[in-house]
Amino acid sequence: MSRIRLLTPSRFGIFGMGTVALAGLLMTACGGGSPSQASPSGAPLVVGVVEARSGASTFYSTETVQAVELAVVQVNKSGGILNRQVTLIHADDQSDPNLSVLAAQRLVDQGAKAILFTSGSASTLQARIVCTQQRIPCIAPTNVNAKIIAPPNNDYVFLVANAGDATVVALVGAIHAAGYKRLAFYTDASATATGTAGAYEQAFKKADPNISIVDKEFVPVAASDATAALIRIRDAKPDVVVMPGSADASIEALYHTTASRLGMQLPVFSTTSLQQPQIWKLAGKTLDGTVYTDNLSTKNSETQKVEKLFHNKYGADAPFIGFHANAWDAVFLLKHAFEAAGTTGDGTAVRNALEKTTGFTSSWGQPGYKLNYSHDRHTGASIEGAMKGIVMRVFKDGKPGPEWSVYQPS
Amino acid sequence: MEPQLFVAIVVTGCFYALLGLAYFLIFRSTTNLNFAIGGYAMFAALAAAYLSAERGLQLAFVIPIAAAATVLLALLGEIVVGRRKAVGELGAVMAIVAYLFVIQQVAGILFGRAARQGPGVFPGASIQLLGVIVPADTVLEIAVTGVFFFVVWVWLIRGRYGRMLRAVGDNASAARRLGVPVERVRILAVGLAGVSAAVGGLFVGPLAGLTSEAGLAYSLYGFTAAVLGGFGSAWGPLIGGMALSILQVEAVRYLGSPYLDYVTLLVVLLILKLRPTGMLA
Repeated sequence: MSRIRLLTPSRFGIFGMGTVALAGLLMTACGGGSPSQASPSGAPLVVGVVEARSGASTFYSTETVQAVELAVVQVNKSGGILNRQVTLIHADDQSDPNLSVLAAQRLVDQGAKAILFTSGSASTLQARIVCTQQRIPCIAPTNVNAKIIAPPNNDYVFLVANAGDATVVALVGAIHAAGYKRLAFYTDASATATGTAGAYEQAFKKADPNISIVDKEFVPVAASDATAALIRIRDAKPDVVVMPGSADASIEALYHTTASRLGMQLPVFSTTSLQQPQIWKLAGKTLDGTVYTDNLSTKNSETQKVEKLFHNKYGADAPFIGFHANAWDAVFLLKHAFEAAGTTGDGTAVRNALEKTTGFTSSWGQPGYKLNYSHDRHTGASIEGAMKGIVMRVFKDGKPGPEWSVYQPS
Repeated sequence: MEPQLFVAIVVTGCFYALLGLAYFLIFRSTTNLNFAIGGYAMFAALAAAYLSAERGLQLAFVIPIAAAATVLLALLGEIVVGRRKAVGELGAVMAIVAYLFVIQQVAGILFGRAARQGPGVFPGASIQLLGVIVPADTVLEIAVTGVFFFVVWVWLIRGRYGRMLRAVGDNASAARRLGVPVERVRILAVGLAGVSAAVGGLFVGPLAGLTSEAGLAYSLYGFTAAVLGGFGSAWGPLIGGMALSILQVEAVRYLGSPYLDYVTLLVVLLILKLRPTGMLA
């Protein structure tokens, strides 16, 4: 069952509205839309959201939807899109790719002119055919699987976040910079995590034949103890432990708490999975010193603007993470494309406008990072400087800390 | 064996044993294999984590509330699902598995989908034993598990209702004719099983983050412990739980992490084929 949420400024509060109005001007300018404070008077523009309210994708889907709603409030506050207020409708795929096609089709049947996929990559892969068949633009803000934008049925679907292969390249660069040769892999035993680990292994070996994977530990989901796995890692004598993206936050946290108890002090490199605040809660300060790939830079002023709006709406303690910035950009990319196309009724024209979007100032990545799309490239990561969407950071006091001084992708 | 591995075996074994005891109690009183038991343990752990972190309740309130909610869940399972004898054994098993998934969904709605870590009784405290760091909560878990098993064993041997439970398990019809309050005995056993699962959940919660979807795995581990130990004695699940834990930890240590589940499933297959009555038949 889908539901409709009409997002109006009244849900925001007076304090938030003031800040939003100020930042709205800035964001509209950087997003390419035309600034307008007039209330939208046209018929609502319906945007569908495929989300996961249960299952493995729930966490990042929930976080992504939060930022989508925040961005839509902002868009409506600044005049909507082509004088139309944006209305979100939602459909739950329960993290099940088999249900995502139905969810997307239901949204189209209810009048959606564009779809945001916030569930897992596997769901988007299944459901993107609806975008092609119905000829409506679709954006998967946080998905990283490059297959989503590969043929077939890729002509109406777009990515915002860096594709996973870019993260691998960044991590390879970091490992190189640190001079590590003996790697141990640790992640959960889910299909997603083990598949990602395989891709990382190939990338590491291709990048440097001298790098060896001395141990691989895939800990079953729901495990309450990882002592034996960590002792295996310790005995393999690696230079560094690499965590190539856990699907289960608790398994990654379990490494850090167990290592602390065992007195293991091996360097740990992780990926965007460490953006999940639940890991911060579970592992606390045992995360300190871990180097990982983030999307957010402490030095990016665009990030800081969106972060401020986010905290105004969801509270100062609500962690602002890369998923939020990706989702924010997705909404403003849609706004830009609809306005560039000059119509809400021609999905192909909007798709074409998205393909022509270049120099779109991103709210994430290293300072000055731009998103550039083309007919052949439906991911915003620029061909030149693509790696600048990734920021290597170090955990400090149990939270994401400063940029890593040894290496930054370029 | 590395001393730290020994600690890991005992901690995990106690958890499996408590789950296995819950299976034992329900099986001996109803002849049902209640595959929702892992869900009960998960619910207790998440309820405690939620009440502590989100509601700010003290542990003195968290533990009884979480345990009571779990017992109610177990009783509800028995009343609503477990007594559907009309649908046959297969139907009853399917109904109880469906109940497990309902519990997982309800827990997800009530406590959120993100992983939560339960509150420890002595958070951060540990003792040094033969050069090994042993968390104080682990010492407590071992003590409570031992006492719990001893009390249940004494109750079954000497307690009035404990002896009735054994009679009901052996032949419910005959017990009813002899005036044994069969339904009351079953409710008592199911309630006690709920307590056992809750105690297990309350101890496993602080070890690592867990989500509402952990119930299925816990049910499998508890079932394996019960089958391995057998349904002949209350000590069976304790022996089964420890044996399963030893096999799992050693499999991971010497073969690798993926072998944990392989070994678990292999043990289930072998024990059902070679000694279906378990070690303590």
